[in-house]
Amino acid sequence: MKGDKLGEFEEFALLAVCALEDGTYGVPVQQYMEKYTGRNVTMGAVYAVLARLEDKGFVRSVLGDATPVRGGKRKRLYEPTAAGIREIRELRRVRERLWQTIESRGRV
Amino acid sequence: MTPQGSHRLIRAIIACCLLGDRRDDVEADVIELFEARLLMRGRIYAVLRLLGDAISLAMPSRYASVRGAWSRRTPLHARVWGPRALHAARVTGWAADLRYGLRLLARHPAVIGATIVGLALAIAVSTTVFTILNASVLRPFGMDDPGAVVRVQMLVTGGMANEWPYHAFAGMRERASHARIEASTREGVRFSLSPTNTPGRADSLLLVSGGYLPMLGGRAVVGRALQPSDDEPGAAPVVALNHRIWTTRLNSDPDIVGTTVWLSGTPVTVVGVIEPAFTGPVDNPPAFWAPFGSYAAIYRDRPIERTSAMHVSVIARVNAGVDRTAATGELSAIAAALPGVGIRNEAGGTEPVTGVQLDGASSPMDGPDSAAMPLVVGVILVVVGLVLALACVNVANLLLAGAAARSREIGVRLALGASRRRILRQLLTESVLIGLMAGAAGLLLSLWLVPIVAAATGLPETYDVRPDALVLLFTASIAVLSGLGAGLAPARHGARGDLAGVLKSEGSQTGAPPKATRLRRWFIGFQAAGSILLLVTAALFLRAALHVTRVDLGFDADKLATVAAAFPRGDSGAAAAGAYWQAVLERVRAIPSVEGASLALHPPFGGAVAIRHVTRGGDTYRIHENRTDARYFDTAGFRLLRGRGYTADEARADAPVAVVSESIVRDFLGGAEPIGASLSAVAESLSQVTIVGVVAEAVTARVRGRGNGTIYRPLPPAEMETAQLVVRAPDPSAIVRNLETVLLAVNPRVRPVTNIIRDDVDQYRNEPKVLAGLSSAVAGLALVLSVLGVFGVTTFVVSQRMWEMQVRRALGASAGTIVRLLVRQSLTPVAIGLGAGLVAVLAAARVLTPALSGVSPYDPFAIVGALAILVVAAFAAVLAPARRAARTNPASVLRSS
Repeated sequence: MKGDKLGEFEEFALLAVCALEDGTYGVPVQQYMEKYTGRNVTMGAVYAVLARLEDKGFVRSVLGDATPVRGGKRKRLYEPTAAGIREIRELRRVRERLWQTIESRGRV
Repeated sequence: MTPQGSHRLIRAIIACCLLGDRRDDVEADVIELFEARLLMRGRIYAVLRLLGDAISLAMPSRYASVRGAWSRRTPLHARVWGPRALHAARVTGWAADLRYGLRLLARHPAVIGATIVGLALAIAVSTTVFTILNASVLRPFGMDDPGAVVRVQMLVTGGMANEWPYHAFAGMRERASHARIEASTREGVRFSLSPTNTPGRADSLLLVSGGYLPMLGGRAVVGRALQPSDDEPGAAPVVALNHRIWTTRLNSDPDIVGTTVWLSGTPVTVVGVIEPAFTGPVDNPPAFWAPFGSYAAIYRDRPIERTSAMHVSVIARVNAGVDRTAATGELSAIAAALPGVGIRNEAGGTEPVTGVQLDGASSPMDGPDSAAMPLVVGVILVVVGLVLALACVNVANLLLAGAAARSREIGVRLALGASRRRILRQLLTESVLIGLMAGAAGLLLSLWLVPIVAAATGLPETYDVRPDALVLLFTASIAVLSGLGAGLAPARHGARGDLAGVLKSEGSQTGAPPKATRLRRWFIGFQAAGSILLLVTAALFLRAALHVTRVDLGFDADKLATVAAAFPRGDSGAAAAGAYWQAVLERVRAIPSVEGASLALHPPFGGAVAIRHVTRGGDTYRIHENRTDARYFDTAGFRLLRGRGYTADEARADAPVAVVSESIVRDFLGGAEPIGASLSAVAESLSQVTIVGVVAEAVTARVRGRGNGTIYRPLPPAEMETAQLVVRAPDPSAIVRNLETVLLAVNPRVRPVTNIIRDDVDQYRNEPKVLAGLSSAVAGLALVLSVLGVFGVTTFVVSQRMWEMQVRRALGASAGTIVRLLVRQSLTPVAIGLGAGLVAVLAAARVLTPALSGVSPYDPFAIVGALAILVVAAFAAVLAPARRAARTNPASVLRSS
């Protein structure tokens, strides 16, 4: 693992959680990641990355209420923490600075 | 598939994934996703993706940390990257490695199986050797706190004695304050359950002071142990039984306490059975323990008192908190002040006690006779280590071949982001796993091997050879170490894998990277060196075993029996003993099958020799001295080379004449005419005694040692009490009963102890045989291992270079050329290893000299024989795969690539 820094896959997952409404769960995150990265993403990978993000303090999860839709099974609901929001903002800032430099060189 | 059917399937799959408390919501998520995919992309896509999800959930390593997190129920804020998360990740990571390892074993059952068998054999041999070593040498004697128990030895000017007069023991016991003092002496006794039973063979009886068993911790399992009150004057005769005697001869009779048994015909009351773990400060405990107080009754002799001539071994337990030096000082002062204690010297006076020496008595490794023990144990452990190292090298070879073959797999894993440490860890886990499996198999095998080896080596049955904690620890550590040792080099190699090169190449035709091949060659060389070392050792022992069966002892060992007589203590003197022997000699010579009978102080192989330290020109030499009657040389069959023996008259008068063995003439007289010379010409310290004859050198003490220079002098009347009867008969074992009858007929209170010299000689001759057997087994194992290693590596190399070989053949190389090329290249490391091994053999062989019974450690037959065996075996191992390469059809190989 990469300490408290984010890997690419983790970054996507965190962006997905932030992009989705609060109280999202595994299935939407998987579908969202698959849709925007164009890669096949397995459920195991999704749970793994969410757990890792949770360990790092970027998302938090609670068990939701049982709903009749899923055969009475409860969902684990995820939302970004303040640290998670800060982290993606910081990542974006870094990237934007880099992009500005790249563009100022006229390479793109 | 109906929706319900799909859901059931999903539930079943999820159930296999061991998700803990996340199972419900994961299951619901997966079902939901499955439904969505079913709707949007169709059934096949949904099912395929479902399977992918299921596998991703079941994969242990990638999501190990996830599971760790899932199974925890700690509050959210505590989950952030704490040590527990780290721990969980590590533990499950190892579990993952283990699972990979097992998967690997399942994939290559034949190869890995062979490895495990090879390693298991080596571990079994090591465990067996260590178990026996542990039981016979390393394990402390069975008693309480053995570290504090010491043997009290008597020091006199220029010497030491290990027995004390009884009154000296009593004096020390009364006055010592730093240590508890007890004593014992070993006797023989005939045991029976009724007065009319025919007595069987003699058993050992340890006469002990009353506090002996309590002091050493000899407790009873039935009844009680002996106690000080049993040792008081007037106490009824009692005996405590060895547990083995109780179980084997008395059928573990629970009501044995209080019953009467007969020891040498005397009724004695049993007070208890001593627990089996107790041995006292010896490795073979006696059959019976009886107090000194019961001595008079059992042997129908006068009671042991202060004035008794009995000698005893003194054992002490140094008090807690007292330094051993302080105890030595105190006991030395006490012993030096004791009146009339000492050793009789040449002049007939008494050499006074100068002090005591406290020898540790906690285990066979501890104490006066143990100086050679560390060497013996060291040599054994080195040999065992060598065998293990060979087995490790084999496994390493195999794994290295595997690592080379798996370099592509490893390259892919590295490319996918696995760290090198992670790969290294996995390879090591695999080899430790192999080591542990082999260890378990080896331990099982050794359980079966140990009793066989113990019987073959003549280990006393009192030794407990069941594996104890130390043995298990030993086996476990060598299993892990051999696994690690075997896995380290291949793992380092594998983890270093050249990423780009491996991925770019097709991996099938290039062969192993040169580094791996070089390493394997080193291994092969090392194996060859180790094998030659072990093979030469075995061959030397075999030669020694052959040699001792043919060695000329210099006398007729096969025809002799000796009888020692224990006279009743106290009431006999030298004169009475002289008269007794005279009467016995007359009657024995009258027995029809007896060819001769005579007396000697130290008959051959009698266990005792008298060594004189003589000075000559300022140097000290050791010379054996024996006192015999006139007919001894004829009776024992010593060959008289020159001059004559002493006459009966000379012997009776203790005349100043002597017979010497030929090495005395050679070494001390420089070949000058010995007859008529004086012994003072041999060494100044010897008295003026005329040499009248020279006898052939005889090996009379240890078959292994060469004969010792010996001086024979007439047996003086004063020594009659300790003289032994030497009888010559065509079959000495047939007349033993007659001899005992005669001795008892002359004086029924004398206890005869008969000995057949051939038995003792055979025992000595068996020693190198046992060593030869053991070392041959070890060397055979080493040979098998190294041939397997050579074979395995050659096969691997050949398969790797098959394409190259076929190109060569297609270009015109003949089959013979191919075979020669492969054989030469494969045997080069073997030859280098053999060379190095031979150098090591020549450098180290001298260490073995004492165990070789006179065979030279540079014996050419042994060395050349071992070399030939190894060369032939290695050649055979290389030839088969090389010929296979030559016989394959080039077209088929070249077409397939």
